[in-house]
Amino acid sequence: MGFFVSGMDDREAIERVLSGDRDAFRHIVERYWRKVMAVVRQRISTAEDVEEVVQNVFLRAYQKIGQLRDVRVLAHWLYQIAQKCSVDYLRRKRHQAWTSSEEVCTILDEKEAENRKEDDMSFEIRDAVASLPTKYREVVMLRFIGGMSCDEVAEYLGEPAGTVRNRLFRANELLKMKLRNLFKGEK
Amino acid sequence: MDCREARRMIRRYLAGEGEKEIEKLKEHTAVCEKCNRFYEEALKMERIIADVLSPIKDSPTERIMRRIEDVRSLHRRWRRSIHFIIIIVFVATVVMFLTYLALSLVMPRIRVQREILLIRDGVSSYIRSGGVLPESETEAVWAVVKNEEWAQSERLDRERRQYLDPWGVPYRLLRQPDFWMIVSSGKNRRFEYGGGDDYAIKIPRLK
Repeated sequence: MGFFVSGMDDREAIERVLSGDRDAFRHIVERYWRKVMAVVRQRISTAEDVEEVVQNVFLRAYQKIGQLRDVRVLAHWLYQIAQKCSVDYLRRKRHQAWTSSEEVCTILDEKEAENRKEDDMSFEIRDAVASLPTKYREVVMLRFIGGMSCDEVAEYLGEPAGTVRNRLFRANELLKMKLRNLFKGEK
Repeated sequence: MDCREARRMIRRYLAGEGEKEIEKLKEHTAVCEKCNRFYEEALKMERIIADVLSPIKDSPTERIMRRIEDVRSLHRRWRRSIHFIIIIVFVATVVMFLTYLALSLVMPRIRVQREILLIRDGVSSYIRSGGVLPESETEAVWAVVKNEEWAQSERLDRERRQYLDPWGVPYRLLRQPDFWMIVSSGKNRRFEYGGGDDYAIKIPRLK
């Protein structure tokens, strides 16, 4: 598990970026893009829009990295930027997609309807995740898309790790039940 | 490790925890077909779901780094443009200032040379049309110029009945036995009878 790509830690990467080594920022991007994407995905639905916002997040982070006072809060700082960028983007584009964590997944756009024709399995999975209660869906998105650990999800949501673990377990059980037929067919 | 413990560990592992205990788990799944299948299915489901839900399938790192570079070079170009614009504005200002200086030196001379010719023509046609010029040197010029369109109103001194040159001194019509002469005192404002820096043009004596 995990998506770490090199031995360079965040502190070293940031120090190198600040000293002018632009390439060191690549390590931060590689390390956090999935998590940032999961945060962005909470509000924005289409792949193209998510990619654009993720790019905006890292661009802004690169430009403001000198303002980061404590390297230990890098992840939290990036999530904050991701939320701001998502809101800005939505405001700009006036998109009504997965507007908030309360309403996430309730809207299936035309693209997803097309997906249904093209790929039943993808549709069923999306549908299954969309039908989960919000609190389960949230942890599934952050865990599965972002690859965040329970502790990281807990920190992001401001919930106890035990609660997040239980929600994830429960969400897994629900998904397994909903997708039973699908995965039986896969075997 | 029993199956119950193994499944608890699998769930923890799939939740991104308990990576240190993976070796123990591997030992159990190697011998327990049921737990191994449980693990494989859970892992497969997670991967498929992650793949389906993930809006970005491949790493966007290169695209992000390219975008950062694009924005940086755009800023660099913008900064260079700003410097270029500042230099252009500075040079343009200097050129305009120098042009103004040059024109302010040259323009009165050009103007006085033109006006002297116009006054000469005016005097000629005034006399030919039977007019009688006043005796006063300055008033004679006034009589010719006062109704001309080219005359600049701010230099028409109606009170003293004079037409002033660009340096504020009245033009004069000097009448000599052999010729007449229209004179401007020039930049030094001193009347030198057509000598020094005076501007002057002679007219054959008119009757």
